[in-house]
This record gives sequence, structure tokens and C-alpha cells, in this order.
Amino acid sequence: MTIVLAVESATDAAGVALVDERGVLAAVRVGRGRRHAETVAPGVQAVCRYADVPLARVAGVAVDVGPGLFTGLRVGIATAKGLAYGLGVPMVPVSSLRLLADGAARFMVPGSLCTVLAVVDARRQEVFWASYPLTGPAVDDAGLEASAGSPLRVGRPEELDAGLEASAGSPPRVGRPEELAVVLDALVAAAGALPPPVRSGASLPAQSGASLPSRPLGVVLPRVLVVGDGARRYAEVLRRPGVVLGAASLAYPSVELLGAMGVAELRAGRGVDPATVAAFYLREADARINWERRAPRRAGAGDHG
Amino acid sequence: MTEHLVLGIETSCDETAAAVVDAAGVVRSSVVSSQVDLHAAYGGVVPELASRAHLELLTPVVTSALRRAGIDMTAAGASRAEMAVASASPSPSSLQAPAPPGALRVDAVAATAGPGLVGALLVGVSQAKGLALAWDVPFVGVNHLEGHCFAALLDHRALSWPLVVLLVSGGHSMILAMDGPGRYRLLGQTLDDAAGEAFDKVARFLGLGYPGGPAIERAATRGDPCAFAFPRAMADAGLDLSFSGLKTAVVNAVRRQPDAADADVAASFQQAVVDVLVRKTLRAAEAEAAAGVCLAGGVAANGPLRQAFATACAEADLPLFLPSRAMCTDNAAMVAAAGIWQLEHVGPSPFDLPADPSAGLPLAGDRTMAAAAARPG
Ligand SMILES: [Zn+2]
Repeated sequence: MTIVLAVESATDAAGVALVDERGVLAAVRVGRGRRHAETVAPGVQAVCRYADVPLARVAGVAVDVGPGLFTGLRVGIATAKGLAYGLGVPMVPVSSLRLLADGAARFMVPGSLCTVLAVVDARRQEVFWASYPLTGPAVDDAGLEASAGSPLRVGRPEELDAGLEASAGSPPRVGRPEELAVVLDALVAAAGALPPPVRSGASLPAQSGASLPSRPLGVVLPRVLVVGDGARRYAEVLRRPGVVLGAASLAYPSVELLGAMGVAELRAGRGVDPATVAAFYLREADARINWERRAPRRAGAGDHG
Repeated sequence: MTEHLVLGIETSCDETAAAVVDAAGVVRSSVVSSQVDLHAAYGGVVPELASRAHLELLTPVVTSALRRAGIDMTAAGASRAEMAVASASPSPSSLQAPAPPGALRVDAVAATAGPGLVGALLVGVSQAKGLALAWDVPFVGVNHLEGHCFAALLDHRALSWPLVVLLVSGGHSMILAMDGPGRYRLLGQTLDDAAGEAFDKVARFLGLGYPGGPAIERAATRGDPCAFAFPRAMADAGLDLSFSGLKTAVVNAVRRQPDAADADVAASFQQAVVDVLVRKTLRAAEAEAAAGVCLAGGVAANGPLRQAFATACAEADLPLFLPSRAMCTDNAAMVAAAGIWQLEHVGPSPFDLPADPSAGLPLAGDRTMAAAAARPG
């Protein structure tokens, strides 16, 4: 068994999970506390205790590297790097936006098409976002072929080999919610040019791979699904026809999914050296110092003393 | 058979540091990666830049400290992981896979938990917790100021008590009575700027660059320390310190004499700081009937300050315990040393320990000293 420890603390929630090929062995999640330093390390102890798995049996450490809240991210990444380095095992770094999008894709109807826009609250009236055209998990081996070129294949263990396909999408960006609203309008317009969204019922489509079920069953799927805590915080700015704002359950990156991704990546031989794992900040550092700045006395005309 | 090696981690400000110290107080390795160049362009430490640099640098710095101490924990971790795989397999013989003979291992991980920049502290505390969990050893959160007080203990074994400690750095300036390891009383502290902060601000005002301590010291070598009669604030009143008036006096003097040589201003300013620190510290030592005087903190790396203390203590027939310059500035050996003491006398820290950016030095009565009291010497 490939046991992966997953650490996720990019938003004001934090989570730790132990996952292997068969699924989640144990997971803890602390919501909206922003006290990551007090929860991540005890979370590691807790999942090991609940799963009765000593850390020495962990084969790798998966970590959400952001973008997200800088301090929260650093607590998770620093803890994860200490664990992986100390255990002598590789790491799997995963973007928070990708985690959000793939978390939403788990709930999509198999074979359906949708653009998922992942939005993380960046504070200071800004959001981080990226968009992913996704299809719901397919149910046959055709999907495995389709997803071979995708950087990450995700899902619950039974879905790991299924066809969650992500094409290019838009790269991660940071900006004001109003800028995102313009992007969202463009996504809705583009989605409108696609074939109409799948209508489907609760039953899975037949063994037909990515082909769409022929009989509409009454569930209208969105053209664009917006998920993440940023989507909820700026719901008023982002709400528009053709767009569904994700539920609270899609607001935070899933640590269980992160663990499943970690298992898949490790099995594919894509673990990395802990020393190389860095935070994905996506925003320049705020270069203010903690005491007032003074112009040098002889710096020239602009002398303010 | 264990040698009781403690890994120390320090990330409270702008030095990323790791060190290995043994229970006898021998520094097996001490690695400090300075971010000075990173912050110089801003004339001061930029917290977010510091935190980012710590996250990037800490793992390589820890690796280097372990290697220099002859510890290969990565291999130890890997061999443990192999053992775990073996133990999951049905073959009972593979359960006995021993650690390499003579392999050194870390017995505890200590990290500075405060005071300092909160984002910077959290990187060190978090990585230390991760390492301690991975190695299944205790974690101990250390007070940075207490770490400075232990620096002199690393360089000088035969200390007698009480000592009067002058702790002067960019963030702190205080005079302490140290009745023994872990036993401190605050005798005086700055009412405004820290001494190091005053150096930084005056250096910046004079356009001498950053960090201010070395810049002022360099400029002052060519200057006359008597060129300006800067005030010695409260030199004869109590043991508290104040540097903001001195900084203002420098600004005013330069405004009155715009042609004054930077070297003279720097030398006179430095002399005023040194005078006050020496006078107050020696007065405190006299009042406490101290067995010696000890310097700590980054400002204690200042050459004229060290020289003045050497002279004054010789005249007063007081032993002076002067840590090496490398032990005065922020380092992780002092953190490991304080961690070793704390582990033995107070115990390990819980894994939910937060960083405390405004932590004060734990003073007598602040923590349970039962263990310390029960143990003579
Ligand atoms: Zn310091």
C-alpha cells in the first residue's frame, strides 16, 4: 500500500489526511480558525492515531502549495517539508486552485462538460483564480487514455484511472473581484458556444466513455461552476445567468482529494525532493518594513530627514 | 549510548539558522544563512520577504547543519521507512533491520517560538514540529531572548552566579540578573527604541547603509568620539534605557552643522551608546553583587562596546563573559542550548504550541521551576 500524508492549509481552514489506494484512512479538518500552527501538527498525530499507522509507514507527503493565505500556506508547507525530509520520503505539491476544481469535478455527472472557475480569497479585496474546462469522471477505460497527458488525475481511488480530463484552462491569476467578473463573462460567452450542457439523471451513462447520454433526464448543469471561498465571499459580484456558485462544501480545498492525488502521483513516480518544494504565492511580497522609512540625509533634493 | 544531540532552529528575524548541540554544551555545527542582502535595499527587515526566504532556506540550512555534525537523518529516515515496509511484510527476520552502527541521531528539535516576526517564527516552529514528528523525538519551543542568554554559556563553561546580562539587539535592550540557567530577573529595559534600532536609524539618517551596527562601527573608526557631546540619557537614574532622545540629538546636531563629518557623528553617537550601556550594566552588577557580567545580542558584536566592557570590568575586577561575535548575533546554537536546558528542567512543548511574536523573557516564577529547584547546581 502507498500511504500518503496530506497537509492542506491554504485557506483559513486546515486539514490533514492519511490516504492509500483504497481510500481515506483518517482525516481531520479544522474550519475557519486561521490557527494553523496549532492544528496542523496535532492533526498529523491525530490521523496517525486514528488510522493506527505510524509515520514511518508513510511513503510520501502531499501538500497544498497555494495560492492562498501566505502564513497559513507556510505553516502547512514548512510542516510538510519537515515531515518529508525527516522521513526521507518524496513530496507531491499541488495547487489549491487545481484542488478546488478537481474537488468540484468529483460531483459532476460522468461525461458532462463544464468550465470550473476556482477562486480563493486573497484578502485585501483580491482573489486568486484559475479556470479549468473539465469533464466529469468517465466510467470506462477510454477515459484512462484521454487523461494520460493530464498533469494530474484525481478522484476517489476507484476514479483514479478514470477520465477526469483537464485541458489548458486559464493560468492562475490574482486580481480584484471586478476583474474576475469580466473574465467570468467571457467564460460564460465561450461556454455558450459549446454544445448545450448535458442533461442527465442520477443513473450513470452506459459504458460509453465520454459520449453523452442521449436522453435528457431533467437536471440542468451549469455552463460555469465557480467554487472556492472567494466565490462565496464575492458572490454578489460574480452571480450571473449561466453561472452556478458552488456550495459551501466546495469552498475549501479537499485534503482527502489531495491525499488521493498524492497516492496517484507517487505511484506514477512523480514525487519530488522536499528541498525543492516552494509556496506558490502568485502575489509579490508586501515590501513594507516595520518602522518608518527615512530618506538618507544626503540623498539629494527629496530630503525629508 | 545516545549522545543527546539537539537540533536548534532559529527563524525569528532575518537569519535562517540551524545548529546541532550536545548535552555537554558542545556545538557540533552551527549554520547561519543571513538575509541581510535581501533586506538592505529596504533599509530594514521586510517581514513578508523574511518569511518567504525562511521557507526557501530552512531545509537546506538544516541539511547542512546535520551533515556538518555528522548526522545523516535522511538516510536514517529512509532506513526507518524501509524497516516499516519490511515490518508490513510477512517475513519476521526483516523486522530486525538495525540502524547503521554508530549512527548519530537527533534526540530533540528546538525552535525559537518568540519573540520575533510572527510569519518568520511560524516557518521555524512548523518545520521543527514536522521534523520532531518524523523522527519521533520531543519538540521544544524556545524563547529567543533566553537563547541569547545561553550563548555565553556555550562559550564559557565555568560560570558562577548571579550574572548581570546586558542583552542588546535590533529588537531588544535590557539589563537582566541571571541567577542561573532559566532564572532571570528584569532589572531595566529600554523605554523606547532598542539599541540596535538606534544604530539602524542613525545609520540610515547618515546614509551609511544597512544594517546600521556594522555601518556605524566602520564609519566611526575614522571619527572623533568627542566631536559631539551627545546626551547620555538617564545615565545616573535607574537601570532603564532610552535611545530615542539620542537619535533626535544626532539629527539636530547634523541640522545645525550640515558639514559635520559622518565619521565624527557616527563615532560620537556610538560612544554615547557605549557609555550608557557600560555605566548602567556595571551599576547593576554592583547592586546585585554579581559574580560577573555577560553580554548578549547582536549589538554585543560591536567592537568598541566589547572593548569598553573589557576595560571597565577589568577596572572593577569583575569577570566578563563575552560570547564570540557569531554567538552574539542570532544563531541556532543558542536556541539548541536553551532547548536542552528547557527539555530537562521544564519539559517538551506541546505540538499545538503557537508562535508568540511578543513573548517576554520567562522571568522567575513564570514557569514551574520545581525540576530546577530539586536539582542542585
Ligand atoms: Zn536576537
